This record gives sequence, structure tokens and C-alpha cells, in this order.
Amino acid sequence: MIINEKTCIDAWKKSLKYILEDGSDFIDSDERQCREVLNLVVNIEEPEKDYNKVIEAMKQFEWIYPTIEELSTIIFNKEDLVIYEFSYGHRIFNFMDKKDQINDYVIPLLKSDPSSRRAVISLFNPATDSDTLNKNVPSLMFIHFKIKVDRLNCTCFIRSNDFFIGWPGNIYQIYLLQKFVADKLNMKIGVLSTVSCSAHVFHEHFDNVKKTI
Amino acid sequence: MHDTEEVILNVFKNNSSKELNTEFLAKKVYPQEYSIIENLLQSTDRVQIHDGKRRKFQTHRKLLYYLNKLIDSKIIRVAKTADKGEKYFVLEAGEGDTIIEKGYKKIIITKPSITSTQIDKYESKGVMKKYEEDSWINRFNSILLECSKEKNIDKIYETMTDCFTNINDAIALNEFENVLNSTNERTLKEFIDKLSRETDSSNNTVSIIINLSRVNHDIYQFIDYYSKVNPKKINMIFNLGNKDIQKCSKILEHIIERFSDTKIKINFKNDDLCYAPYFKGRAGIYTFDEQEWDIYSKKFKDKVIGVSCSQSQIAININKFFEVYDTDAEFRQAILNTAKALLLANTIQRRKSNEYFRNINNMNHPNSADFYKFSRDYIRFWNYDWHKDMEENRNLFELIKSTKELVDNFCLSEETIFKSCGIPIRFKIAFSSAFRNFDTKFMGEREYKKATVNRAEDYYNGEIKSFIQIREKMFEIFDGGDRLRIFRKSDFAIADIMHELGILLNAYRIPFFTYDFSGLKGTVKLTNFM
Repeated sequence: MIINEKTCIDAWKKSLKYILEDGSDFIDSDERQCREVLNLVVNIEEPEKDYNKVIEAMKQFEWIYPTIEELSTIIFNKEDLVIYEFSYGHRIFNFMDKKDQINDYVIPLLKSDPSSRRAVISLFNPATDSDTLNKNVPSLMFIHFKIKVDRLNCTCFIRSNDFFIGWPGNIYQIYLLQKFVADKLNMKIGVLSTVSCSAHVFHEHFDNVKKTI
Repeated sequence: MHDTEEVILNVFKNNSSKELNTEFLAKKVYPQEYSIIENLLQSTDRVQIHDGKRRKFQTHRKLLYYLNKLIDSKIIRVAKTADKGEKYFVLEAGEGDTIIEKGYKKIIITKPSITSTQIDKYESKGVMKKYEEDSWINRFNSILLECSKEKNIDKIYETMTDCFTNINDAIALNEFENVLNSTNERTLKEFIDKLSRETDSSNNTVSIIINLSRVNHDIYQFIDYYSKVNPKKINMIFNLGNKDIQKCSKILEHIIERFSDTKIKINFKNDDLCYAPYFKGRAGIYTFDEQEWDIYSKKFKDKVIGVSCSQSQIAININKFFEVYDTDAEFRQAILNTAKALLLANTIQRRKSNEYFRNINNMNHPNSADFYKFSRDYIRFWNYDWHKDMEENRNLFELIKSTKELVDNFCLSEETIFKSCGIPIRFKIAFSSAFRNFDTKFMGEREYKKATVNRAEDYYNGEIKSFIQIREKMFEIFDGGDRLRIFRKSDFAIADIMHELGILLNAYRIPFFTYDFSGLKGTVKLTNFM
């Protein structure tokens, strides 16, 4: 299924509706009931318009959502905080304490070869993540950057995506990264896409999902 | 850091959210000088008043010199300038804990944050209390150190003293029998002496956990020495199963004799019921989730020096709560708010973990993350008063049980939310009972029934039996551990206690219990009853 929308909030609502109506139920390893669709592709044409609105929408509920400061810190912080199993920033900007995938690879690559299809970063590390007992594995696996008609497009591959509570934070973080790279390249923001292998919603959140859509 | 700067920062430490004016600070920083100034200013003699004003000006100028240095270091800032140019200063640091290091001196200032707003209405009514508020974010409550890998007692002591600064309650030494089996008596005695001095001068407690069936050395002298020193903040916890009573009968009898003589509490963990260790702190009992302990033992135990058990904790006085609030719904909401406060505390702790726990991280390098893997936060209950009316007890059980389910779901949802956002946190809350030493002022008097046992037959009589059965149920709900405390009175033969041990290990599902001999008169001798 491919969902094309202009804004993040519309894409989110349409996707949630699709999962509720067309998804199939299963019970996950924590024994929680989920409804899921596989390989959901969402294209947002103008993410800059409302990339933080989906997070705002989460504030109406009982739980505590990470602050936007924490979300942006986690995507940009190079430091490996030992209290986390992994952190996105460390994997993006200091992968295995060796590689800054954005500043030392994506940006120089796209500057030298704007048509490149190789501008991909990996947040998945098979050396540590391919462990049958390790449940704390990044959901965001790869992010691909592609310049098209002078705009920087960004596609993120997400292996497991709680579309109600997780996707808003993901979109905020991916947008910040897209903007960071676009600014370095003096380019406008293009389409932001997510490819969710398992796009799901927990049954316990159904009431809130229905309120949202 | 200059001494005066340190004094100024200590004033801010106690007033971390307030804007403090120069006069207030001067009174606190230079109390003696300021008392002279105030006397002079209250005088009717014009010369003395003039002298007072001069001294006040000089004191303020001296203080401003140090305040400006702290402003330059971006530790404080001018919040406002009031009429007549009087300046007000405020801490520059944001919410949570800030470590200020200048030279060799280090001060930790906790600035109340959003974490407090979740529960401040309960705190102001005296029904809820954070444990050790000054350090509830920048220190762990309790950790467990393994003695299976490192058996050298001097190195264990060194690790403990390194960890003391990161802990505000308890350190457990697990499988201490490994040390007992490989250390001579003199060194063991020195260890008890050093540890006793160390814990006496701090708020930390230590639990020495011994699997009696695995002791293969003569530990009689060690037990004798421990009883003689009777260290108030070092507990011994004996792990044993029913079969071990026979196997370890001699040493058990010796322990009972010595400990009852010196009125030391004897703590037993029932190995037949649970695998995870139990240990005692000032705040209460600590333990681990049984399944997680299994994973830890199989996969992580050999890679780390130990494991963190509890990060932050809050106590609630149940009787008082229901004096102020009426409904179960309010109770559930209060506990949910407590869970939120703990989550926000964890958020700050996470952000600053490299700063707060650098030494522990270094000790566990390269497996530093594994140290935090099984840690929980604690919500502890005080004065939940057992009613004679079983119906009322049932209602309380159900309330606590259903609230625990609510809290578990909240924790799971929050873990999912944060994990989905690339912040793979561990957030688990355990329920447990509180000890009075959690905070004696807040706790007030204990309103519990006491289980006073005079003879083995008491375990089969109606009152004690039903009391223990209620505690069995609480053990099921209190996943953070609980303790059954038996007050043992009257004359007894050591064999009686051995018999009672068998009853407690066999007939009841009580994972952890303590024999308290404080009600005994005189001393007990083995020979008296032989």
C-alpha cells in the first residue's frame, strides 16, 4: 500500500485508518494484541509544513511522550550513552566509534555527485543487533538521501513501526536529519518517505487512534 | 573552587529554584560577621550604626566578588535587579541534577524539575515522599556486587567504597561464600571492621548474602566476630532451602545462638521459592524479577562487576492517603502520577548517566550498559494496616493488585513509545513495602500488627497463621520484595528455632523472613536447653 499526502498529519491519519480497517491481528512477543499491515509506504510531499504537529497531537493523551529536545538530542548526539542499548545519533554520526555517516559520507558524496544513488546510511549493526536474545534493536534501519529536481528527498526504512505512538517521533527525527543535510547542500526539502515493514497499532490504543483519525 | 564559592553553592543547593538576593546570601555565607552587623545596625549609637553600614557594604562587596566569579563560570546568573539596585541571583543550571566541579571539589545541586509537579500535591499533604530527595536522581538506591568472579576481599572493598558515592541506600555482596571459602579469618575481621566504620559514617547499608550450603570453610569465628562487632548497617542474609537445614544444622545453630544473644536480626531467603537474591536497605527490601535474574545469571553475570537494582523510589503512606482522599480512583491516579514522576526522573538520569555514574561505567567497561539492564524503580507502601476484617484486606489487595497492572501497562507503553523514538529505555516499577528508616519523620509511627511468636505451635494457631497467609498474598503482589518479620519472644531452645525454620520454609510461601530477637530478655545458651 502506498499513501501519498501533502502533510505529515494527513499522511498519519490516513495510514492509521488504513491499518485499523485493513490490518490483520496478531499477538506480539510481549503478549500484546496488535493490528498490522506489511510494507506500508508513506510519501509526504511537504513535510516542512507540519513535521512537529504529529508530536503535538500526542500530548493530549495520558502518557508521557519524549520532549522534542530529547528527540532531537537522540538523533544528533554522537555520544554513546551507556544506559541505552543503542542510540540513533551515535550510529549515524559515529558508527562503531569510527564513521560519521552524514558529514564524512552523505554530504561529500551528494556534493560531488548530486545524482548519486549511494547516499544511504545504516543504523543497523549486524555485529551487535543480529542476536536472537537482543530485543533492543533499532527500528530505523536505513535512511536514503536522493536529490531530485534540486530537492533533497529522504526515504527511511523502518523494520517495526508502531504507527500511532512511534511514527510521530520518527517523522520528527527524520525530518530534522533531512533538513540538516539539505541545509549543508543548500537545497530545499523534498519528499519524506517511510517504508514500514510492519506498520502496526496496539489494540489498547484503538480508542485513542479512533479519536485521532 | 574557593571555600566561599563552595559555601555559596551549598546555599543554592538548599534553595535550588529560588532567586536569592545579596543580603540573604551574605547572611548565610558570613553568618558570624552578619550577626555582628545586625547588632550594630540595631544600636542607637550613631557611630555603631555607621560602623554596621560600613561592615555591611564591605561584606556585600566581598560576597559580590565570588558571586561574579560564579557568574563568569556560568554557574549562576543575575535573575533581576530590584529597587535600590539589589541583585537577585539564580542557578544557571536547568532542571535535574547538576554537578559543579572546580578543582578537586565537587558539588551536586538538584533543581526541582517537572518530575516534582506530578506528585507535589501529594507531597505537600504528607502522603508521599521521595527517597533521599537531594540525590534521588544522581544516585542509585541499590546495587548488587558479585563475589563469584572477584573473590579478593580487598578488591571487593575497594569496589564498594568506589560505589558508595553513587548509592544512597544499599549495596549487596552476592555469593559471599566464595570470599569466606578463600579468605583467612584475620582478613575477614579487618573487612568487617573497615566496612563497619565506613557504613557508620554514611547512610549506606550493606547486605552480605551467604549461601550456607556452599560454605566449605570454618566460619564460626567470622560469625562470632560479626556478632561481637554487631555493625548496625551491615546485614547478613542467609540463603537456604529446606534440605539445607539438616545439611547446615551446626552452623545454623551457631548463628542462631550468637545472633539471638546479641539481638541481631537473622534474615533468611527461601531458596526453594526464589532464585533471585533479596537484600535489605534503609528504605526496604530489594530484589530482582525472577525471570530477569535467570537471564542475568546465564548471560551477563560473568561480564560485569554486578548489577543495578533500584534507581529511584517513592513511598506512599496508605492510611494517611485515605484520610485525605476518599476513593480508589484517586489512589490509582496518585500511583500513576508517581510512575510519571519516576519516568521523568529516569529521563534526567539517562541524559546525565555518563556524568553521574562514570566510575561505575568504567568498572564495567566494555559491558557498561549491562549493569543497568535489570534495574527498576520502586514504589513503596507504608502503613497499609492489616484489618481484622478480611473483607477490608481483600479490598486493599485488589486495589494494590489492579493498580500494579495499571502501572505495568503504563511502563510497557512508555518503553514502547521511547523505543519507537529511538530511545531504548528500560522502565520498570516494582511495588514493595517501606521500612520506617525510609524517612523516619515522614513515616511516623508504625501502624502494623506484629507477628510475635512464643513457640512453634504458634505457627499453626489461627491468628499467626492467618497473618502469615496475608503476607504470602502480599509477597505475590510486591514484586519488589517484602519481608515477614517474626518477633521471637520467650525462652527457646535453638532446636525450637530450627524447627520453626523448617515450618516457615515448608509450610508457607514466604520468600524472605527475619527473626527479630529484640524482645528477648537475657541471653540464650545452647547448653541451657540441652
